Amino acid sequence: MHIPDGAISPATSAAAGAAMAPAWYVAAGRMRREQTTRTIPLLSIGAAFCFTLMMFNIPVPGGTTVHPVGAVLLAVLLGPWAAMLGVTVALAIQAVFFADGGVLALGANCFTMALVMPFTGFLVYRIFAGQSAPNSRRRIVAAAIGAYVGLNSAALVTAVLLGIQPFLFHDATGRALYFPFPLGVTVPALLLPHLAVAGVAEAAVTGFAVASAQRWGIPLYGTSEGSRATGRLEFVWIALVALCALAPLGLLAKGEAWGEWSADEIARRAGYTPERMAAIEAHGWKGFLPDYLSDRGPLFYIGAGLVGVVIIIGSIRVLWLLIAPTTRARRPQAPARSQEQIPAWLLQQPRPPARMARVPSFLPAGRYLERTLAAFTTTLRDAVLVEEWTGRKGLLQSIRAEAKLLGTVACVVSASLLHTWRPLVLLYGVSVLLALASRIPVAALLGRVWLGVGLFGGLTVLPSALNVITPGRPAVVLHMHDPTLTLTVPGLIGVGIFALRVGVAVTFVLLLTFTTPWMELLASLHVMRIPRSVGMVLAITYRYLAVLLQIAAEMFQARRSRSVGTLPLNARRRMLGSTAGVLFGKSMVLTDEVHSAMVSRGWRGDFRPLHRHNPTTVRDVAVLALLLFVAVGALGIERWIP
Amino acid sequence: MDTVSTGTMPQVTAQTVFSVEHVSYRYPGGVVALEDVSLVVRPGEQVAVLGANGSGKSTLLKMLNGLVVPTSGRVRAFGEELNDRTLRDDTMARKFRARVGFVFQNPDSQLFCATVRDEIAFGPLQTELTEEEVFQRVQDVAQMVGITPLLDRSPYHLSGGEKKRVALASVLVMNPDALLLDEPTAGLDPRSQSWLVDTLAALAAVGKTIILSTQHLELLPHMAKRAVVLGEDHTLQADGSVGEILQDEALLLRTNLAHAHFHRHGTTGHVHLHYHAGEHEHDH
Repeated sequence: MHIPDGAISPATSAAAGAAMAPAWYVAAGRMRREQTTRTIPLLSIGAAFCFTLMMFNIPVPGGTTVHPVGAVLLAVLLGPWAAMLGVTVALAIQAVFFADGGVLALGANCFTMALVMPFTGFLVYRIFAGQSAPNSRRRIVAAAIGAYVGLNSAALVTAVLLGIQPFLFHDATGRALYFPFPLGVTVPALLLPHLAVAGVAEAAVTGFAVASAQRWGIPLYGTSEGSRATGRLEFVWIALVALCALAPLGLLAKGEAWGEWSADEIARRAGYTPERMAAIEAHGWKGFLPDYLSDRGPLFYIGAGLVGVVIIIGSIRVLWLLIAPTTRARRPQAPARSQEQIPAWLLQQPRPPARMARVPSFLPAGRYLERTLAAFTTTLRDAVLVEEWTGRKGLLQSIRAEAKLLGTVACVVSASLLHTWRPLVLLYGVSVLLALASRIPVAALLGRVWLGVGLFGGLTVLPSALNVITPGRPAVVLHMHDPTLTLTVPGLIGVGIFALRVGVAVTFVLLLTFTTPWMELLASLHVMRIPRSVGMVLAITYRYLAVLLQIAAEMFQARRSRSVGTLPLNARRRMLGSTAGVLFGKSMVLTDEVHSAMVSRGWRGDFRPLHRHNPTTVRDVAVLALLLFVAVGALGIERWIP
Repeated sequence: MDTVSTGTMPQVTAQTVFSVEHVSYRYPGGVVALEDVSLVVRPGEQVAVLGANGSGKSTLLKMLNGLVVPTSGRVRAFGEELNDRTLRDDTMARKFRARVGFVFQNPDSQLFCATVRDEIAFGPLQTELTEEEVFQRVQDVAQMVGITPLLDRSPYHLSGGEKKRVALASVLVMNPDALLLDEPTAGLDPRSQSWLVDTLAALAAVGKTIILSTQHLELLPHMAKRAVVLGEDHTLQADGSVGEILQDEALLLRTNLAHAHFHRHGTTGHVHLHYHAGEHEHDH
């Protein structure tokens, strides 16, 4: 259901983000009042759970997929405000992880999944639940209905956001349009699968999870329990917050399916789409590419890359500053232990190093559930490979993460502001040289960048090269007779520049992530004035993502090993729902345990990270200066050298 | 019931590490986890908590760590009562957390940081140690448990035995006076088990108080000197020396710690348990 980058105009996304602002403000106030030591672990594990839930893509007719979100479940357990913040946090983590897609559309996605979904779902739930007892069956049914309505409301709003794009051009701003299909197409195309499949799955998961929560004595939001239970309430609270936030992540991992659905699948159906696109074109789609490349648009259009991350993190930061308790915890007292005792530890002889890490096993591809999981496991393995590259001796690896981060941001901003090919090629050349100097296999880097850009970005914007959108000399004729359909030369140049721009940005971001250990990258965020607790949430999420994925994979394997033959589709869907529910239960138990483990080691809600003592060297400064110079230089070339 | 000795009313002195006084615990749903348990642990003692699955061992350990507060009765650590009110006091909580370490049964719930180094540093960073001191402590303890090569790895990639070492290191780094270990030998291979037993012995030798729960009766004589037994009715069934407890076959059978094929032999209290069903011969 998430909106991919480029599908809606930045203005729409900004407007959606602006609509979110007051809601975030209110939610932050509530969080601040109710924040406890459980906040951070709950946010983190909830985010990891939600992320995993999103991976459960369900195929629907037409070759696309839908998936449950979990926002209403969060709202039922933690309240709609907490659910909203959770969805928001998750979206930010998504951007940090994959650094591609969905970044620009964050405002809109927050609007649909963080605001519309939990609130409508919660409202419906409250209406149906009435004054029933906290443990009543009626609440399960009410939550399931709420989940169904909430998900479909979000789908409807998403469809509207996409569908109004063609009509926005009537505005005097003359801003470019992004999504070619009107409401008549988007509403049924998005809503039908959600009404028929995803809504049912969402309702099943939510109902199951609420039933489990009742069984385990986890109070639902708004039902008062004893004081001891309230402690648990707080904890469930934020866990679920983060759950929704990660909703769009899963889709990003499977961006291909979405991209096909949004543009090409329909565009390729001759006789149907061209007419509609022609109609759209009559309303001014001609201006798409020129306007797109103008100085106004790109300011907002910061592509799938680190700048997007920074935008998200910026909003998270605002969120967090509002959330953070105004009164700091008292300074810790010196522990009663004395350091003279330390040598007692060393009575023990050092042990030989233990054996090497085990290699994650891969699921055989075969069924969509396993395939989805296997695909994600591969992504995880990629992250491991990346960690391997971070250990090589190379130029960027020897640079402080802060310098790399700032330099990368500068280059990505620069790339997003450029609209001619020469400076972009210059930037790209610099990035490839940096990769060579850092001993990153250039072939691997190229493959990742251009496969991703080609599949995800290229296919999405390719329709803009059609003559109905960008008129001009035909390059490729698709359909000779009325209506004539061609790919035009200026259209293709525009697509090429777009792809190059995204490719440059993605290359710089990948270089940063390939050469910087995840922890250092998180730690370096503080130069962007990101609170350290945010870094810790990200780190814990990263960690438990792996644990939950492992559990999910094992659960599927276990079920498979016990089932004979192929299950019918509806049985598999049922299995999916119950697996997600069980996974939810496990993650809740884990949340409680992790919180206990943190408290047990003296954690009082205040986070102090371990700081690596890396003195800033001349090399750090030199590389940062080089990157800044290149970033500014590229802009200068475009400005002053014709 | 009084095969060895039942928990008598404990005498609390300044020398007491833990005192548990007529403690009961019920889960929010009303399910009983502990029923009228009393217990005193003195400095330097090595106590094993025995009991079948679900008898309340974990709850008891969590209670000693202040993570669970009794429904009725009192728990005191170093003379101070542990409850929601006292643990909310920052000074008290920090002192207590630094003095008592808890190794969880499931290392995945204990290892929540992204790298092993961050994991071990987590506890000391909550104290007022400088970063240099923390760094040094992490190095020391990593060397002690043999995980120095793993310091910059993610816990996700570690084996069960490695995870257990990291979990132990993350607690030892605080240099606690008392160590609570929930099923420390569960899921470990024989080599890791014997490593753990050796480590606990070394820690006991320097005067640490050690309380652990276990079902591995064969390792019991190496890990503890005293044993308390929780029955399936969640009450304290016995409290005595490990030798006494292991000789009391009726008790072990009653509390489901052993079944009919329990054998004892050797002169050092060495014990073998046999879980396989049916008749069998053996000639150890």
